[in-house]
Parts: sequence; structure tokens; C-alpha cells
Amino acid sequence: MAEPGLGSTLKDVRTAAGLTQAELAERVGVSRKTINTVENGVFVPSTLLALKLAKALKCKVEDLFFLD
Amino acid sequence: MVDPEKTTTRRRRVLVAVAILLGLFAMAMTATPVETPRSVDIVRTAGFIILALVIALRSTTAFSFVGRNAVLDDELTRANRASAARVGFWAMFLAAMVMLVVSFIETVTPMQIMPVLIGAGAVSAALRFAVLEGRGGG
Repeated sequence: MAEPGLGSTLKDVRTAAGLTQAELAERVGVSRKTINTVENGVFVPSTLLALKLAKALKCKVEDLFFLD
Repeated sequence: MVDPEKTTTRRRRVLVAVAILLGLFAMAMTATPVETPRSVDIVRTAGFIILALVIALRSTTAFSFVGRNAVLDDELTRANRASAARVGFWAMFLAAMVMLVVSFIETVTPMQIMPVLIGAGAVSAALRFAVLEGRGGG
């Protein structure tokens, strides 16, 4: 059985919050490219980054990521 | 203020250019081995070593001549560096295997082997890092 991947609603939550990738990146202290690759499922963020993203977007980590 | 977008793009381009230069350097050193070292050969070898060291450090560690920038050394960059280090290791390992086989067929000196090994490791790590850093640009 294939291992589940990480699904993300980061893009939806970010746009709903009215933030650009660059603005969110600045809030969590990473590059815009990191946000882009997380949104596109290219890069799986660490727990620390996931928590920072959730805090910046005022939601829970579970609201941003799920098992695909 | 430093623009992370421009800086990462510049870093990637410089790394690719220097990696190509190192590859050419390694090929030249292997093709024209030194029999009796002269001053010019020592300078050439020192140049190669310094270039290879800088490329390896820039591709696989947060080493910088101008100090660290947290955004330029974020989680994604660290993951890319780790991947580049793995690719560099395997490239060097495979190059060593190839040179071992070649040494059965033809006489090769350490001065011919080392540039191949160092070049394979450093160039492949640099190119891998550059490719990974290019993701998510759009």
C-alpha cells in the first residue's frame, strides 16, 4: 500500500486571509519560494514551519495540512 | 536591503557558472597530467582546490563570505543542500569506481584521478543544488 502524501490547503487559506506568498513568507521568516513549494506539494514542511504557518494564518495546523 | 529573490537567483547562476568552470578545470588537469611539478602546476592545483572547496561549501553548507541571512538559509534551502550533498557523495563514489576500473586498463596517476573525483562530487552537488533552488520560482 502506498504511503499517504501530505495534502495542503495553504493556498486557499492564504488567499482567504488576503495575503500574498511574499507577505506570508515575511511573516514566518522564510523565502517566498518555500511558501510556493509547500503550496504545490513539492516540499514537505517541518513541524516547526507548519506551526509557524498556522500561527501566521490564525488557524490550526490541521486546517492547513492533511493526509492525502 | 537584500532582495532574497534576486540573491537566490544570482547565487544559483554563479554556482552553475563556477561548476562548469571547475568541470573544465578538472578535465584539463586529467588530460594533461603533471610529470615534474613546476610553480605553474602548483598554482593551478591550488586554484582547483580552492574553487572546488568554495563550490562544495556553497552547495552543501550555509557557508558565506558576507554573513548569514535567515531567509536565504531557510528550511527549503537546507533541505536542498542536504539533497545536493547526497548527490555529490554518490557522484564521487561512482567516479571512484569508474577510476578503479580504468586503472586496470590504463595507468593513471593520483594527479589524474583526484580532479575527476573532486570535480564529479563538487560539480554534481552544485548542479543539484542549482536545480532544486530553481523550483518554486514561478
